Amino acid sequence: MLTVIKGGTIYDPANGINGEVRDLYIDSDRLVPCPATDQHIDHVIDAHGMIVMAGGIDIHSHIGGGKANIARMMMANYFEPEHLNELDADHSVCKHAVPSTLITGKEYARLGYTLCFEPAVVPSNARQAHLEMADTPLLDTGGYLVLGNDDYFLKLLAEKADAQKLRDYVAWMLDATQCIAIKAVNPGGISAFKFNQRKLDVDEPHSHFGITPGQIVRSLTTAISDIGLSHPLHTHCSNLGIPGNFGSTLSTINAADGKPIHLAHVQFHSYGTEGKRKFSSATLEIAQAVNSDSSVSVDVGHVMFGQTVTISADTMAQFRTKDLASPNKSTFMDIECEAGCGVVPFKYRSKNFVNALQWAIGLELFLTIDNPWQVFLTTDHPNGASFTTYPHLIRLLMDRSFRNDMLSTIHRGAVEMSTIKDISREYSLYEIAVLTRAGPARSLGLKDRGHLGAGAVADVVLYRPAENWDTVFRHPVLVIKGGQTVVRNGEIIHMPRGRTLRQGVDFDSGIEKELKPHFEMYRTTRFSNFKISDDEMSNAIGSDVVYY
Amino acid sequence: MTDQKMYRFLDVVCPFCGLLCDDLSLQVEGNSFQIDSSDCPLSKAGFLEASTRTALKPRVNGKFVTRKTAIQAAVNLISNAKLPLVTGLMTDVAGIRTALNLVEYLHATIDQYSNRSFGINASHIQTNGGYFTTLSETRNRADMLVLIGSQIPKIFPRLIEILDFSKTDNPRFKRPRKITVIGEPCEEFATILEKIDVSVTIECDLQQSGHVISVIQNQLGKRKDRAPITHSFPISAIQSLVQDLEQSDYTVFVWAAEEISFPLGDLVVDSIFRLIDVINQSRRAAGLMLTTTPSTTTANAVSTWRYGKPLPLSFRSGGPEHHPDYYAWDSIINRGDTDLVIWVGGLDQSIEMPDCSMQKIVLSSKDHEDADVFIPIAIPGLDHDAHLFRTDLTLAHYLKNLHMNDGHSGAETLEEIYSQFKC
Repeated sequence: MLTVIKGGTIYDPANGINGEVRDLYIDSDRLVPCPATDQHIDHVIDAHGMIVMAGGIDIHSHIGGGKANIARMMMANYFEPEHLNELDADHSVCKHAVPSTLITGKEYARLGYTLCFEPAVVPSNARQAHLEMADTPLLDTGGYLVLGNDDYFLKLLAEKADAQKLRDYVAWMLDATQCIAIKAVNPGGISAFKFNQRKLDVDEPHSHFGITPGQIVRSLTTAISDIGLSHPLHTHCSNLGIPGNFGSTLSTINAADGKPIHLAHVQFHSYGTEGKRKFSSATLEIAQAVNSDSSVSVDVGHVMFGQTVTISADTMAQFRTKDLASPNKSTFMDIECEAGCGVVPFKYRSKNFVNALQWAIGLELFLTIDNPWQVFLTTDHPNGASFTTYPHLIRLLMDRSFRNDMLSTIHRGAVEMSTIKDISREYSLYEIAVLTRAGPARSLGLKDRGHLGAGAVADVVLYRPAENWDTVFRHPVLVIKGGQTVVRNGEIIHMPRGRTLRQGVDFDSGIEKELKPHFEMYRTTRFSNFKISDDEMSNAIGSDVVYY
Repeated sequence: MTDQKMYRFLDVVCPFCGLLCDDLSLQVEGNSFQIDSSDCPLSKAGFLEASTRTALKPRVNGKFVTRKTAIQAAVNLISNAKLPLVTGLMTDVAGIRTALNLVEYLHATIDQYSNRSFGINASHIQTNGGYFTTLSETRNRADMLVLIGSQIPKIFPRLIEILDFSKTDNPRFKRPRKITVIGEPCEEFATILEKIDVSVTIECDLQQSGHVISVIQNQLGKRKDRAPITHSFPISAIQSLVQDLEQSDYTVFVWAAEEISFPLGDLVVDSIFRLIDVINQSRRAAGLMLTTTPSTTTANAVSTWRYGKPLPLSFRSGGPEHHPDYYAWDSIINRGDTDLVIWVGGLDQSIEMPDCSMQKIVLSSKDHEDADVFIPIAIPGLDHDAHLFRTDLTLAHYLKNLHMNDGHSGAETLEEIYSQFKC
């Protein structure tokens, strides 16, 4: 069936189209070139006056896996209707910081998002992550595999194993867990915490393995480069949340030795120690580092005021903040000698100096990193805020006047410590399309996603222009997923199953011979039962695999 | 297996307890089988019973009927029911996914057979949280194991082996690993003690174990200088345990949800986590909660990601409502708050469906003559592929079909029933 989306104003940065009125053609699930004039058009969608973009892509959102499920359980009775954001009452859309899979899929679709990546898939928990994501309708999904705290890798590194073996291990693990990228969470720090180390700087040795986070970053970025993965090491740096941690963030960039690196939720890693409260913004230093090095990309992990729950594999950092839990409860787990988990509920308050400055730091990062292709729009859902606050965040970026109005409502000391009031930059629609579509797709090597050119998957969103950008991005007129209209005027009309995006990799199968005895000696699951096959994904988990 | 050819299966996952041991070697020939790799009585009993099953036929009111007739009879009963209850749920991820779909559609209530004991722990997570660990972490890190409940090695026969505590003198650890047991002395326990190297035993009524743990916490904490209050249990053993805890690098407290399911068992769980909290201020410790059937963890995992809440759930008023006691299957049956019980088995070989006066639809791998409708289903992981969650809530296993029997899975059968309502 041939469909035309007629007369929309197209924002398609991947193809250099900035607000041009064009027609788009969809045949089945793909965008196609303009057909011959005599070809019958089956369906016409009138998009005159509409803003047209590719489906949104969330490069970092915790939507599946054990820690998300623990958070759901802990907060089950804690999210009755309330304003997620004290600054803007219009935000009371989603009632839960970590919604169920069904609600997650629906809410993302209502916002015009069609693809989402779970950024912390723990190897032994990969099946659960994929099972949950398969139960998340309307979204294609993918996962980043957490390595760099697993005993096998740390042991190889400590024994100075050759780079080829490290590379084969990383590739094998990625393949076995059906993931698309590699993530390092507080490299070595989660493991060190198990040995009762409470802090680990980038150049500080792990008390048991004797290696440093810097070495781990270096080895993983090298392995990723050798394997040929599209997305660079997705890095949750050391010392999350600690005042003065910008130094660790810069050291982590240096540890990559010029190889591409992505810094996740960098807002939480951009803190200085200036001022009487010994907590300040270090966005100048971080933005300078990003602006001067095109191999560095970041997602921001912006915070919004209100109740949420923080979830992370970084047990060391989460344990450190447990006394700040609100409500006062927290759950942790040491996982299978490969990772951890910490779930700590948290309420960001606009009148709290630290929280207000965190809010400002997020905006400073967005507004001072020059190249929009190096920065992606995230709240590190749900850690900074729910993904349902994205339209509000977009308004903050696009509307300086609104931003300044909001500044007047937060802690005065934080305003004084921030440069936000002096920044005049306003994001354009084109740049928003980079942050939320084209940029993530390019970073992940998804050539048929995040754009509206011929051959792309037909994920298309139509927005109605309005003065309030929050309204525009909160209420798309039409959302098309894989060629099928799934949302019309906020109403879900179809709920297709999503697919799993992963990267195909090669490795020397000799690594399996070494891994088998490791599994038998140290793990409580057999090697042969660990790997997730494509058949299992399709037939039992319920999500077909798409290779990139 | 329908032919007499011999098949050998390696690394088979055993679905008959929450540990989901996945290293069994099975030799199957016709209906006979042999486990080469393990002496676990639960595995042996489970596979033996499964392999000696007789072919079951659907029944309506005790009389044999075709499967199609039985499905239709189930649909008719459900159509006429006002307050259906789906329980048992001794099934896999697929079975639970489909059961939840049906329950939501019917505005019914759903609970898992063993959920009361799990619920005590889930409630603790909901109200306080806790520090947990997993099997491999315990195997490789724990230099000290504290078993709260003397039945644990009996309920989980391979636990000590899986955790590699059979020999406490392990070269991978800088000093001998230690095991402490807190619980009631019992006949089996003497035998168990012979097999494992228990360093300290604190004999007490398990219902008093929360008190014992609180005393340990006081001894470890700021009130250490205080003389212990006189107790019915030996204070010297506690002092010995405290010394061990102070030297341990990673202590893991283990308890079986089933053993702590007595009234006020939540106080025991609470005391365990409080002690873990105290230890974690300066050293490292964590808890390992064990469930007897993987279906309990599986059902709660699926329920939580699908609806944001653990079991039991009721959809009677539309949205899912969670109340651990009010909607518990036994509470509902006891107060007569249902007119139709839909039992979903599969892994229910060793348990009996509760006796009740309500109408019953039973999907099970064993015969139920007294059910209003009985539809035989296959056993997850033996007769069809299945996903089940291990006791430590982290690892989901994919159990591959051993083709021990042909037959429809619980999920397929529920879907057949559900599809009659959807169309």
